[in-house]
Amino acid sequence: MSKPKKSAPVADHLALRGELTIYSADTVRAQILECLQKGAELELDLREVTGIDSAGVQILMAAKLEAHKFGGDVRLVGHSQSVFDVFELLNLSAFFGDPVLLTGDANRSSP
Amino acid sequence: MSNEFEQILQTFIQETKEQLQSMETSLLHLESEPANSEAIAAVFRAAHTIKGSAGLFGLDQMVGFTHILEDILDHVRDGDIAINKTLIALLLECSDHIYELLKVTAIEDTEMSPQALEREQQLRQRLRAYQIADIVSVPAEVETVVETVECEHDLVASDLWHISLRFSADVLRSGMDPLAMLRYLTTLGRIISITSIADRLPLLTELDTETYYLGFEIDFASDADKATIAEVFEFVREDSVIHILPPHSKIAEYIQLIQILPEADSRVGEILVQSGALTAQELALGLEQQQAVRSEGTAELLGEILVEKGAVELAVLQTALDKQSSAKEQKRRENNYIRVQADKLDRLINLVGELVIASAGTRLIAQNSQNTTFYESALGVTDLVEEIRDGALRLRMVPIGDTFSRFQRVVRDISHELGKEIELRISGADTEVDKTVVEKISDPLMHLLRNSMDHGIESPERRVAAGKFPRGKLSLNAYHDSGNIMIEIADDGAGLNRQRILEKAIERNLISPDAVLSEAEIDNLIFEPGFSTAERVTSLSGRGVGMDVVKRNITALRGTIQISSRPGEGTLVRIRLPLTLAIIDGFLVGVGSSNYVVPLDLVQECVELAEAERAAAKQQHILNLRGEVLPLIFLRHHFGLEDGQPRRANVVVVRSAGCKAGLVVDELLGEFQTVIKPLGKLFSGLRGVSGSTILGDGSVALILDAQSLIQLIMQKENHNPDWYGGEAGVGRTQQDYRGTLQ
Repeated sequence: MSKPKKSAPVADHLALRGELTIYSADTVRAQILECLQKGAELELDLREVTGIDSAGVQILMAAKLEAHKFGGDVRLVGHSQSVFDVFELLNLSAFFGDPVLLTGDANRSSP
Repeated sequence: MSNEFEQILQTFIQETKEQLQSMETSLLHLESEPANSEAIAAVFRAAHTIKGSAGLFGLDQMVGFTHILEDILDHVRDGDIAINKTLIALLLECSDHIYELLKVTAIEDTEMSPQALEREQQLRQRLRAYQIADIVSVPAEVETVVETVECEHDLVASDLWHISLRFSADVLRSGMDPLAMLRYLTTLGRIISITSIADRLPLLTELDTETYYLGFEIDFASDADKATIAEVFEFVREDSVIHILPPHSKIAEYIQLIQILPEADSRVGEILVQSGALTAQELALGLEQQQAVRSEGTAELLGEILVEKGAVELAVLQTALDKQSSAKEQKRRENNYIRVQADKLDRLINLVGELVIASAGTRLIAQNSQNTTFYESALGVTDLVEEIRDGALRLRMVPIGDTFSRFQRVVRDISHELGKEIELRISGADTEVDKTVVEKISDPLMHLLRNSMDHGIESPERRVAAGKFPRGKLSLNAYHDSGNIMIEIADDGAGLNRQRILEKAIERNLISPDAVLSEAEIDNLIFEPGFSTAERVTSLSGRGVGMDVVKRNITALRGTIQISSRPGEGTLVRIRLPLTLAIIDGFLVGVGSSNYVVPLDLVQECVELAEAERAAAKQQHILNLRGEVLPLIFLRHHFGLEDGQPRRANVVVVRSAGCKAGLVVDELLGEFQTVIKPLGKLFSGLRGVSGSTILGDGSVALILDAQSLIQLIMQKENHNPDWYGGEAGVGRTQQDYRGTLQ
């Protein structure tokens, strides 16, 4: 997983890729923590997340809490279909408070 | 079916049998001690495990049935259903039925018979009574504080299920994902509202990615029943906190839920109202009622709170302890045991047998080689081989206790059936014995126990009349005794009725009317074929096919059985069995160019047959052994070995089943570790020989079956009274004839 820098002035940008599961959880956690150490504002791009499980969900939620603690925020953008489905199932959109816009080939309308 | 699957299935079958066994043991334990929570937990665990593993094999019928059981047990464990004799009896029947299901669907892979299905239907019906009772009436009994003032109409308006989930922190580690469960849940109905509870979720810096922190409050629309919904969370149910409230549950149940959940009451209440599970009024009403109860009796309040608090703490503590001890138990088991397939072990034992033979051969060569160093080293090898032999045989040793404890159930059932009160006491359950012996001893023991219960122990009234305690005592004891295992079955019943035994024996032509028998001899008559003294035939015993079969089975194991009895005080049956069937210590003798092995335990002494006595002995077939008359069997003659006259003759005095005889042989060759090789089918009718073995030099020696040899000569004597010739023979006949009857 790479983290291309974006020109956005405040928010660091991190694109997560592939499976966001218990197998990759530790790596992803480290990546996010690294970004958060630089600044409390982080934008997580979920466009290329092909799958997510409970461990993945927890990381995203905990990242949000972490950022809040230091007065920042973690924003999720570009929810992929699989992320969307899980957020939908767990009704997490409210927790994250990000506008959920489906990207890619999925044409399901958001609720 | 692939080999691997077959193997796993076998493990499953074996483990399920063990689980059923432990379930039964615990249930029987509960019968005497209904409040034993450990036993209840054990029964529950067994049902839970059986169901779980049956599910893995797709044995749906078993899963379905066990599920009901588990459900009820869960309530029993929570104290919602009181355990009593009726329920225990029902559960025992259920465990029998599960065994049947296992046998039919897993082992035989066939369909259940219509009778079995009908039985299952009946059991289900009887179980349902408990399930319904649990839903309708139980909460009112259990909840003390809240439910006391609760009225029937205090039901919530919501027609949705409310599911409250607090998964265990280890759920991910055990390879399960709550997400998958929730997804599965959506196949059963529609999630109307779900609130994720992230209160336990730490900051990312403190997050352990393998720990699960989330919880959920779900309102769920579904036509499924509670069992189906609960099934979704089946595999996490043990460790997680899961509450499923059906539509229109009592407000009180919600209040209870609010209190149980780890989050602050107000927060949970808020969530419930938000999600629509409770209306604000309902919540207020519930809390008000609770308040009312509390303020009604302020004096009681503190106590109640303490009790309630105490109860909660106790329950929490208990769960924690249970979990800990079961984990420990598991670990201990895993550390201590390796599951090995029996045929691998058999192969090892066979190889060790070959090794014993080969090493005996080496020793022989070494001995003849005149090379002392070689001989010494060969001796060293022999010693080690002996140790290996013992070690290998010990691998097959299992405690006899497992077989014994199975009888608890039998005794319980039969005593109910007979209307007698009988208690079975087991001692020496740790005594180890060869697995094959254990398997084969179970049926004879069962028969003896039944016999004791049916004929030995009197009905409570008769016992009281005889000045005894109304409850009969039956004891089963096992211990080691010089290379043998002794099993004793004792009862404190009426003892044997010798008069009746004698009458019967005479009536059945087993003995002549004028025979003079000692008490012990009379007692042991009951092992004769076709003998039964029961005045009436019951379903259990009394058909006269029992005791002789018992004796035959035990003899086939190279064991002996004896019975002794005191009128009015009880009966004791003593069974002596060899520890193993594969290898024995033998005594090697030579006749002409052939070798024979006599089991060493049977050998009493060896005497030389002096030249002077030989002629007389040969004619009379008896020997005067220090004043005792000893019948002789000339092996040379018996086996038709007429090759020349030996220079010397020896008598090996053997004792079997209470009678002595002398085997006349040429040479005494000493002790010999004998690996028993069964004889081929061709020789199965051969009497006097029980097997064969291979000697160090590769030649074959026959193992003599002393008991049947003795019987054989007695029969000859019967048919031909003059066979012995001489007056001494006649004078002695009566006595020895009686001896063989035992």
